[in-house]
Amino acid sequence: MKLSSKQKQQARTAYLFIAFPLVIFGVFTFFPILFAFFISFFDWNLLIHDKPFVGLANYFELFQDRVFLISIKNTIVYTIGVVPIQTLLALVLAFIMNQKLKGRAFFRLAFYLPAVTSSVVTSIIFVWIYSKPGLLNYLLSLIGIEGTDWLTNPGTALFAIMALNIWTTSGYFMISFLAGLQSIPQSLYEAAKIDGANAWQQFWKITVPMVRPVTYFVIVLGLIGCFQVFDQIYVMSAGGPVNSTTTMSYFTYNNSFKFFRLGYGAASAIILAFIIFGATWLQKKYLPSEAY
Amino acid sequence: MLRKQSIWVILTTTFWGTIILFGCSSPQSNLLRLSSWVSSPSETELFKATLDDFRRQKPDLAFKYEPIPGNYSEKLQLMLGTRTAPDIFFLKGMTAPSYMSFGILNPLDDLISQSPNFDLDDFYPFALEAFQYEGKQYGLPKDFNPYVLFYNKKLFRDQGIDSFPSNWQELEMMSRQLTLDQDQDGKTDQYGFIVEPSIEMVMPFVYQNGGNFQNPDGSLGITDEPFIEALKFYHGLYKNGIATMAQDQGVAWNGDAFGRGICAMAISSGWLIPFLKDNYPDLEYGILPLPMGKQKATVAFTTAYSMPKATKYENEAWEIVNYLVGKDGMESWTKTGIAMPTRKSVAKANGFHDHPTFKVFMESAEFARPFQVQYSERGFEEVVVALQAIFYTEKEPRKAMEDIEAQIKKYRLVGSK
Amino acid sequence: MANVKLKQLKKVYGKDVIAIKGADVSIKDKEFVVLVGPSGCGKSTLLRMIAGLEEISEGELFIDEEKVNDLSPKDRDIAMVFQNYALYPHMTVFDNMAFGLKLRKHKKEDIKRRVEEAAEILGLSEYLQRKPKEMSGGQRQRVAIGRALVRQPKVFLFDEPLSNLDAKLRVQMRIEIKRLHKQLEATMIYVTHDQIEAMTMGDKIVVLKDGYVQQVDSPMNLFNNPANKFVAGFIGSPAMNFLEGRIEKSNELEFVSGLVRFGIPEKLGLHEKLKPYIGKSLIFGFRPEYLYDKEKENSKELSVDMDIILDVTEPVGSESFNYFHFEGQEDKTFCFRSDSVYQYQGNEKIKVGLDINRLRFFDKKTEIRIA
Repeated sequence: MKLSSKQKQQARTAYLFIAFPLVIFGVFTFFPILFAFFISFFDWNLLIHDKPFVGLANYFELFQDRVFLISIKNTIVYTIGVVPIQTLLALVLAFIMNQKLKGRAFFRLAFYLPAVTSSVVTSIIFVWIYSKPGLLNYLLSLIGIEGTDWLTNPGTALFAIMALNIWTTSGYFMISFLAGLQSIPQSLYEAAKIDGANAWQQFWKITVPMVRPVTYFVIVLGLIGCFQVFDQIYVMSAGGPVNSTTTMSYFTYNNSFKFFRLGYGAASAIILAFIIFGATWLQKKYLPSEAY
Repeated sequence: MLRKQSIWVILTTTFWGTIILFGCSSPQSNLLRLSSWVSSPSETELFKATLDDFRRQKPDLAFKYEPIPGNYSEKLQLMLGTRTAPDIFFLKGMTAPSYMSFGILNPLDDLISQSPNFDLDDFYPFALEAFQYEGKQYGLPKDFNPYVLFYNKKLFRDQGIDSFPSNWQELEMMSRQLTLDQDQDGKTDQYGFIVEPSIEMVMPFVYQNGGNFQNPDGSLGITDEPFIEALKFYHGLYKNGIATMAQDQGVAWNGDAFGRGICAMAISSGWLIPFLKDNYPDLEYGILPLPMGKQKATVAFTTAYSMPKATKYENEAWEIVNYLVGKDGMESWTKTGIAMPTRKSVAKANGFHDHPTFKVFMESAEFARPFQVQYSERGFEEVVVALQAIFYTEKEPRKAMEDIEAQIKKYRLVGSK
Repeated sequence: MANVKLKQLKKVYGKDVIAIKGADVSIKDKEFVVLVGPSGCGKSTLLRMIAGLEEISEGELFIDEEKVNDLSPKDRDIAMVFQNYALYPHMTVFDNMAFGLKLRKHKKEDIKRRVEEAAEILGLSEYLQRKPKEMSGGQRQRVAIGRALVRQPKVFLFDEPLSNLDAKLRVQMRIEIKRLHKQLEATMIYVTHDQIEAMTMGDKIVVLKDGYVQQVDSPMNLFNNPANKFVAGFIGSPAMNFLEGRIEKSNELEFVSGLVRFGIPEKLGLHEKLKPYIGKSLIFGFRPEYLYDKEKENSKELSVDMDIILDVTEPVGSESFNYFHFEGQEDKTFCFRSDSVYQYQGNEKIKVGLDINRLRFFDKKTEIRIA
């Protein structure tokens, strides 16, 4: 397509305007990704001058690293546990919020607030809630259950953190679903009522299929977010106890910044990236993203 | 039309240029920088006071004190790696082997020999050795803190115990005597002792049993009988219900549990003293050397001042370090009692050996060892995980150690003996 | 028997917004009843109250002699066709129609049979596996009708179903719905704002305005015997002419308005009703269709005559609508209908006649029909 000289000039100006932000984006996002890929083939210690090329050695070592394999397992368990529950909860909350209930605005705020609170802050609060004499055990004691220290019990630590994340992120996705719900015409529900559907049936046969695009979006973002979970692990459990909460990004952090092996850490990050790509690709292939 | 456009071009370029210039301006001044970690507000204040003493003596030497809050070692590593490290920084004894093996620290031997009256022999040997590598001195220890046994005088009195545990059997026996279910509700209200799944706490018992994490020949000692026996003893106290753990009580650390009277005895060090003074001033407590195993031993923590290799202000930095580890500087720092002096003369001159509390610390210096191994941080991490498995999931100690032996071997520091 | 009775039905929103004010309507089994009125008159609200989609504030609703005020829509045995079709977009045509039956746990073969039969009737047989988005507006409306059909309800409810279709399709669908009504012999209640639609489709028409039922009657009765000025002006296109004037008595009773004056013959039997209005204002209504050019046409009946001045003539094919005013009252426009054979010029003076049986009078204040 041939552009007139005026169009060319306008194009030049446009490029000039976006040039610098593009450069910054390139420097701080694209370059680090490429560089991480690059150093994953090296034995890269920030403090040692010698950084020999080791080819795929880091990758081979990773798959024989007991802790790395545990981190993959933990990350997958975490994701499989959190994404479905969080998606469903967000939808149910949105459905409830969409009804004309008293105090609706207050509940919307109450559910959304954790989503916009700093994850570090919520993590610290929950360290106390989950502790042996903490709030959760107090509430359980009211119904006669004696609780443990949820974060130092290897059987419960990961699930405790999963519960925390489900609670915080559901509110965020609830907003997305609310928007989706409000685009469903009321007459569909009326027709369904006349056809004989009760609230439960209306939910499953009309609401759920009609919000499919939002569900798709929520699941993709949920997957990507879960695979990368880090903040809560770092603040609440430091990957423990007994590596039960070590996720892949925490493993990457430890190996890169605590154990001085940036190349090794980078390799684990690249593997995580591939896993996320794969999961998203699978979802695109097998999950429909259109409602109809 | 053309003119209007070129005006926009100039404006845009100027705008972005200014932003980049501002963004790129270096945050650091050209001053000499000294950094430490931040452990407690009171400690930071005390250290600042010590630095002010130096400033009064040498007002011409300008320098900046930049405490590093949060993750000290990670930040320090990044600064060292990008050559933006402070000119003087704290170096922990436990992580010193890694740093020294990487060759990023400045050897101090020439600076020491050039300083008259430095008196290197004045230092406790164990403290100096912690920062030696291949015959060179890479850090100078500013203080040390050994593990000692704190005991609650009132709780001992209440049970009519008037002697003190001097060996493992007595430790176990008295812990049992001091573990009580006072209100008869089936739950223990008071424990004799408190433990934590950290390797530093286990090592005194290992050393006392004649064991080692790393044998002198470099091999791992974690699956040897003395080590396992000591580990089993330590864990046994918890397993038999006469010792508790901080998280079971919902407190942050041992010191807090001790302060509240949840346990009658606790192993801790100098940092517990200001903590108790601030938070539990009415607590009546005493300090003893650790009970003995087959031999006397304890673990001492020591911190050194180090400089990065090829620092710009070598001589100026040395002036500060010289003062801080010199007799005056060390006296001003340690007389607060926050840690023990590593210079024998300073200890003698300030009555540390006669001080009711500190004399135990100094006594312990005779048989103290720094806990250092020639393995990377990853190795420590593996051990911590194994200990967690033992304490939280009742994993059998020998099996736990055997499982990680092969892993830890991989993390042997390159270039170490 | 699928009759529907509305007794003093009221609908109130909040504290003081009264949407329906005491509606009384009786619908016989197999009747096709149209609810018609201008926007905001409450016709849709009334329909939705019958459906159960709106709560009834006061009054009673009976379907088949059973009081259904508290029954949910699905228990009232009604089916509704919506203005925007309300088809389930993610389901095929078959599934859309089968949905209600599936929910009521009909057997699979039964469902298949009913859907296919309905599809046959509506000409949808080859579209059963399509999704709504692949179909035209008219086809979608048929699917909506089909969805109601398969349910074989006691009462069919239509909420302005043809408003979203183009004019030609609308006419076609009107005929189809009427045909369906005849075929099924079902009770149908139909809402529309279009009075032509109402007139052509309804056995009985309910005219609503501002939440009140104005009149319930057959189309012809509504046309010829409107209960009030609103109904008179609403039904019929072009609308009835209204001229304000007075009744005067000289020898006989006369209607006077400006220069218009005509006598009202005694034999019409209207004198009793009009006597109270002697010397008072009232409104004279007369339909364009009943005015004729006295010169060009003859009528056997007695007529009242008026002199008019033509303004504009609008030929619409076989007939023309001619707009005129009375001398001395240029600002008021009236209309009369003629064969388009006659071509009038502007400003032409014409004498029009009105069959005396076609005189209608309305009270000026209450707008109720006097005679």
